[in-house]
Amino acid sequence: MGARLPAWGVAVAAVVAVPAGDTAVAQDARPRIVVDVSLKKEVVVRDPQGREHVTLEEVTSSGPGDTLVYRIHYVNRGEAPAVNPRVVDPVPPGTELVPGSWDTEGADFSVSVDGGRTFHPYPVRRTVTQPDGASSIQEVALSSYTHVRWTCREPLAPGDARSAVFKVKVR
Amino acid sequence: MKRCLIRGIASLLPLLFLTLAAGPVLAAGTPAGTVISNQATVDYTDVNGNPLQTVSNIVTTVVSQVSIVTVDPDRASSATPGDTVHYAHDVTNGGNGDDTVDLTAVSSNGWATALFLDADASGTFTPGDTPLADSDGDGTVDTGLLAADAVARIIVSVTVPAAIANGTVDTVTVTGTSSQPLPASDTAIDTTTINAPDMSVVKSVAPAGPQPPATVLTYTVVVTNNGASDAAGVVLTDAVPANTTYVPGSMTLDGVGKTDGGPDDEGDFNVTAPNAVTMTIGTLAPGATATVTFQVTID
Repeated sequence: MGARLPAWGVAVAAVVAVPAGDTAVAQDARPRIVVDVSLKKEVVVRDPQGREHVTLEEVTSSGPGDTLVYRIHYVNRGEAPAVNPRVVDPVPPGTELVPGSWDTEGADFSVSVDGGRTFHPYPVRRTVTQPDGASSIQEVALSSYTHVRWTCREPLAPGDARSAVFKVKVR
Repeated sequence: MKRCLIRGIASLLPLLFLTLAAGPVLAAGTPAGTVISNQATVDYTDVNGNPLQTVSNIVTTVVSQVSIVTVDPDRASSATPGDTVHYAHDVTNGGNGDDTVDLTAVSSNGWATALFLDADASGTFTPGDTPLADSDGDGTVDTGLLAADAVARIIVSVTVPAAIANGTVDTVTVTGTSSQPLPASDTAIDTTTINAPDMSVVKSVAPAGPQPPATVLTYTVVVTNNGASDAAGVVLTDAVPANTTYVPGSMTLDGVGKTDGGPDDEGDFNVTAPNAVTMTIGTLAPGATATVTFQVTID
């Protein structure tokens, strides 16, 4: 990884080099995040009283209108804090984001409408110009969202784990 | 301050890209067999700011086939007995994969129906329209293979039997049923209201009551079409009563005298039917009446 740094970065690191003992620790103790995604499907079941309940079931297949639940579980298996973790997950083609379906605990949630190049708070709005020249601001269609992202507010300490959840609906 | 400026600019970018980001709208939904896959990425740095990245496993699910069939619209028409009426419908595969839609047409009165492919998509029955075939051999005629979102235009015919009373209503239920494992179906209703002639005959005699022999009786017969369509070929036959004798030359139709002889005019006596007055009235429009009179002498 160090070899990919620009030359000026290496130079700066050399200038601010800390005492020999600490340097050895910094090189060996690295963060190492392991991430796993699981997929389940929401299934509506009726109890004997006729009330509907939503349960999560393993996905064998899915059809238009189904709600898929993605859970991203990530853990720092390294020996140093992982700084500024950002979890990015695409909204799969053929699905659209379910509004409000994400959790935001300990992280700032944002969305992309341009294939992950830029991220913005949800919802993204756009200015629509009417034929008469007047303009109004409208939220973009749900199908516009291409990616979701969580930016953790705190570093992920060694051994710590977090998860992020969001839902999509199959179009 | 610099960060804020950059973020401010970034928040404007969606305004420029949005029209590009909107994908095609799939009315039928995501096509069956589409693999929906997902893989998460985590970017982070070590304490020295060196960028690190890790990617997750890939989870996938395959989109199964969902069948949606629509048959539209409901239609209505009037008809007269003996008519064959045609109704055009659109059969749409609203599902997310190929489907073959079985079709049936059932008349509430058990009248004969038939299903045709509207080959020229004219919405009316034309000579090129061919009967629907059973393309998948399941015993029911069908649209043939329809791709997702495809529409089959069909014509339903129903034949009204000859002797059907005025005001009779028939409904043909046209049902389209998917051939998929979880079948979807839809129906359209074709309502046919029958306009038929409805004849009434009212006969009166003057003078009324007991009469001595040699009295001349005048019979008046009023024929009315109370129905909703023309009555054609109306013929009134009235036998001269026993113990009376027809008064020669006494018959009239709507106040005009008619001869007793054969085909010279509408009326005859004892020619078409023995010892009876026969009046060929012809066509009576809805609401029209014909009045026939003749006289007899009591023997």
